[in-house]
Amino acid sequence: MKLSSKIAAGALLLIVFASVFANFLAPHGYDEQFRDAISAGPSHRFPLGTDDLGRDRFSRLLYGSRVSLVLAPAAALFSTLLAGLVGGLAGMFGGRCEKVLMMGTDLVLSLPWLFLLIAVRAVLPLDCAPPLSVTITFLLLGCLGWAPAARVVRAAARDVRSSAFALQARVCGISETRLFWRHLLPNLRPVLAAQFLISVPVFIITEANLGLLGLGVAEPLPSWGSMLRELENLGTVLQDPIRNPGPLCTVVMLVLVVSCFQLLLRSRAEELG
Amino acid sequence: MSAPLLDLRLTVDYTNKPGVLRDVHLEIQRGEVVGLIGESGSGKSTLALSIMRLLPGQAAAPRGQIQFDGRDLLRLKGSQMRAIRGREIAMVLQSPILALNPALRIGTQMAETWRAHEKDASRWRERALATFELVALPWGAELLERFPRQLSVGQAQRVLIAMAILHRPRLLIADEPTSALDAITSAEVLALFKTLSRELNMAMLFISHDLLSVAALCDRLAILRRGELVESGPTAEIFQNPTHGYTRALISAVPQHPMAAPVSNDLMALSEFTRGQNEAEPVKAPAHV
Repeated sequence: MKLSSKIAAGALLLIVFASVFANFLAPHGYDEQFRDAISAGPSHRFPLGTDDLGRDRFSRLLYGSRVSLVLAPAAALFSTLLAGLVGGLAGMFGGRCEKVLMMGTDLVLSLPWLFLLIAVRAVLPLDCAPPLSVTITFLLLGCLGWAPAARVVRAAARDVRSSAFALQARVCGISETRLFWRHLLPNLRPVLAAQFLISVPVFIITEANLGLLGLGVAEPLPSWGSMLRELENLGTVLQDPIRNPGPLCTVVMLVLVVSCFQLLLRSRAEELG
Repeated sequence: MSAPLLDLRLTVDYTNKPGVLRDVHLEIQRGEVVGLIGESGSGKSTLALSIMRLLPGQAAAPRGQIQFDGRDLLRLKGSQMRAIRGREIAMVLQSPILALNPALRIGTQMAETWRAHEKDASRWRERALATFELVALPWGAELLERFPRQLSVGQAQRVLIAMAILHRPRLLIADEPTSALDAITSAEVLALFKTLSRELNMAMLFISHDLLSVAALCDRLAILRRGELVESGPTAEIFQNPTHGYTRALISAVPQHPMAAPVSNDLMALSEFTRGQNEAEPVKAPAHV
């Protein structure tokens, strides 16, 4: 294993460790307010200071990693599986099946997803529990995010369909369904893995963007995205540039870790030829 | 004489290229090795894929009939045809490295081939190993763990042959199985086909562009040119008395270099004999090149 992948694995382990043991590591609760120390700077008591409601930023950072680490990969996995199924079937069987599936893909691509998200959130009852609402949001993201990946997967599946080894499998009397599951999907694995790793940071950042509109993780639950909102006001950032480096650093770190795994995957794929 | 194992009369058109096969008539007896010779684009592979009913999408449905053991393959349902593919009629493709799935171990691919026709999935291993022995593949059980990229071209071709004969088919179609191999490996593989057809009493349709290299293997030859069967008959008869000008041209296209390794002395003598009957003396290659 190369040094870069070692570092990436170490960083990922650190983030996973922090999020799993947030209960023990965090000095305070994520929603615990300290009225005596509002917008305080870093100190022994608050390692990263407090936000404008007097909550410990460090504790919120630890708890916030759970959203990024669990929901984003879950949504990415879901959308990648959908992409594999739709793109794989379309590329494999071609003809009318491909036309219908690709029309569906284009339809999903043309949906104004932001309006859809706002509409869904508007339909949900106001007293909907924050964890439930955020799960629904990510599920929706997963449902909408598969379309671009499906096109990539379809292109790869078409290559497999016309390949000599697909003909070989047919010559041996292997059925089309078995050909799809046993011969096509393993060959799409690198493409699917790449699509998964690409969508993880996209979903993390989308969550941050949604947080800006109040569609992300609802208060008081912390997430890296909602914590980044503290940086949305240029005035405060200019006043105190290193005020809240936590979520920015961790988001960048996680995205870098994921990209590093992407590179590792590609170099391994190249090695295998 | 009993009815032939395979009796086909076939016309195939591609949408952008009509007349790929024009009323080709071919018979193969049980256990007989028939060589189908023709240049590139003469329709050899189309004929092979038509028998398997695996022509690509741009081809119109083949017209005519393919009688295999009393059934017309062209009239079978898709599922019935699938049951025949690989079990009764098997095929060896021409590019061994490409024809193996790069993502799967050899063992997985053998198991898949076995499971395509057998419910009892547990017996694939012993059958695969026995078949490896039959095609003289080294390593035995260790080979099952390997990936295609870890094999040489010759080994990959033997694995493909093993996959094709796993179910001991009655007819084996070999579509230029030696075209990707070097001369020595190709000679070994040809010898292997000869042994297999004898030991398994398996009929073979051996497709090639190289008349001389397969002649020693085949009981009968059929010469295909631009979608038409110009000549067919027992191998010796075709060499002694080719009736069609194209066949004569093929026979005299044998390497003339004095250092060229004779594939079979008998056949060289035969081709010398036929050359004498031609008025035009073929151009001899210079001794020093």
